[in-house]
Amino acid sequence: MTPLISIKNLSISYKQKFALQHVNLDIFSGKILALIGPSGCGKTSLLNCLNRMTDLIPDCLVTGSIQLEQLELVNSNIDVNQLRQNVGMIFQKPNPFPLSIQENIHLPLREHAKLSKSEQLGISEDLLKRVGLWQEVENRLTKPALSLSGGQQQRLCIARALTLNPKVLLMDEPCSALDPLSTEIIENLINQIRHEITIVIVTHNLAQAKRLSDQTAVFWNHNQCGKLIEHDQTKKIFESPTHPDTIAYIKGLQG
Amino acid sequence: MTDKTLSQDLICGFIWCVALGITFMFCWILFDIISHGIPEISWTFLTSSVQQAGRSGGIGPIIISTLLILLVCLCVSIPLALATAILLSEFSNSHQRFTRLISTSLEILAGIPSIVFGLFGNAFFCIICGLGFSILSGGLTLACMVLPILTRSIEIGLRSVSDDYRLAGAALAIPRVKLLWRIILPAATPGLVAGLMLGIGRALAETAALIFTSGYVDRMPGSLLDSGRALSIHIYDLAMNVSGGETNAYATALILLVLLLVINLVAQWLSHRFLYRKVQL
Repeated sequence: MTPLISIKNLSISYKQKFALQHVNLDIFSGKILALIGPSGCGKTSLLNCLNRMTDLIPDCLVTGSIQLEQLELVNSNIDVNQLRQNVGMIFQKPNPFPLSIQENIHLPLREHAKLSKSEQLGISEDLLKRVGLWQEVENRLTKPALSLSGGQQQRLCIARALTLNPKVLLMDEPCSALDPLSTEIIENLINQIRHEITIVIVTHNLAQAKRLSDQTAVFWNHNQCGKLIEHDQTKKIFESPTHPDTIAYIKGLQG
Repeated sequence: MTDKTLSQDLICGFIWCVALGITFMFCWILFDIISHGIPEISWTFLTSSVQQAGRSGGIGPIIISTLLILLVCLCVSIPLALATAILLSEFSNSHQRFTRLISTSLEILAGIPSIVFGLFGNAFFCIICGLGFSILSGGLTLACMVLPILTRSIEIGLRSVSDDYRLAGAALAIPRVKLLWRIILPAATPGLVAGLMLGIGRALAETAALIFTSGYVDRMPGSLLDSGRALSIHIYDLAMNVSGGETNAYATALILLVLLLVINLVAQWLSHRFLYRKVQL
């Protein structure tokens, strides 16, 4: 099976200080890959490379290769906006725009397709139903998105990311700012869309990685630099890990 | 224990005194101006022309000249300040040499005394550009003067808008200019208006920079190339050079305050009408 995204010898540095070194990792279509490990070992940096958000960080240098269906992403002269339409992103802190609930969906929709008002309304209804938000917001679509609860805001952000029909969805600790109930709703949502979209999720919640993901990659800090120490099927990582740091981390002894 | 509460009470009392002192000072100035000025205010005072160097008659031409000078100043300075602030906060990072150069220039510009701006305006706009003593020269000189305050406060306003929106916009492949226009600028409206008011306040209060550029003439201006006297210069002249002009100086000062208030309200209304309404914070 050929991978959708193939990462080879990837290193990331900020101001000449390495955050992540020599990562080789394949991401397969229609699967969920969880990136786990202690803070500051380069998981988010890796995620940011996959949709070139690293371009926005001054003094960030990326070397190596990331191929998305034969398209080279690292330091190449590609259309970044085209890439970001294919690779969506959900942030740790829910960040809906300070607009109405429906305008949050309509804004990116209008930007990338010519649609009539009624088509826009139809699509936003579909998307809000898909993320299970429709019943909660049906009567207040023109109310501010910032008046929603954290969990609702995060679901709105997922709906907003889905407006572009991305092939890949990057999620940077999408539940870490949410309560357990909202987390469960988001996890159910991820389970619903997992067959249509490839997901890469960073999480500090080991149980979440175990519940959700097909594959797991474990990152660790060696000499103040992030390394990928082990990656395999999630079942294998949690039942029979091989690297001593992984074993300690999974058992909760370290990290 | 009692020592601690005593010192707390002392500090608390001191802070209250300071706050009351500031309020008292403001009210005193306001009361002084209003009580002396209000008997002179009438519709004729607002509309008729200056007579006997201001001892009698009204301030009609002065108000018109002031508004025209302010209009020239704002028409030039707002677009420049907005563009510079957007460049500094949205399209460059503070490590770049070029950005630092602009920032440093603005800081130095902000510290230059207004009389120096007056001399520069006289030499450059009046003489070299050949505009003479005119409303245009005065407005352009004021524009140079308020540019640093306006730019800095707009930049601060833009920077205070959460980076979350910029990240979300980038991740959704929304062009930066679109994001700026649709989200960032509207969300920064309160900051923009505050900056605008600081700039207008400074421009309305200016005398030194205008004496050499827009001049003293108290007739109704026929065009932007005529000389025109600003309210602040009229106040200065009445108070310092014209014996028996004090009451009209007070009345003019009151008009200046009211004008500032009106402009403030209009700016707030306009910005809400056209910008702030676009976001739901």
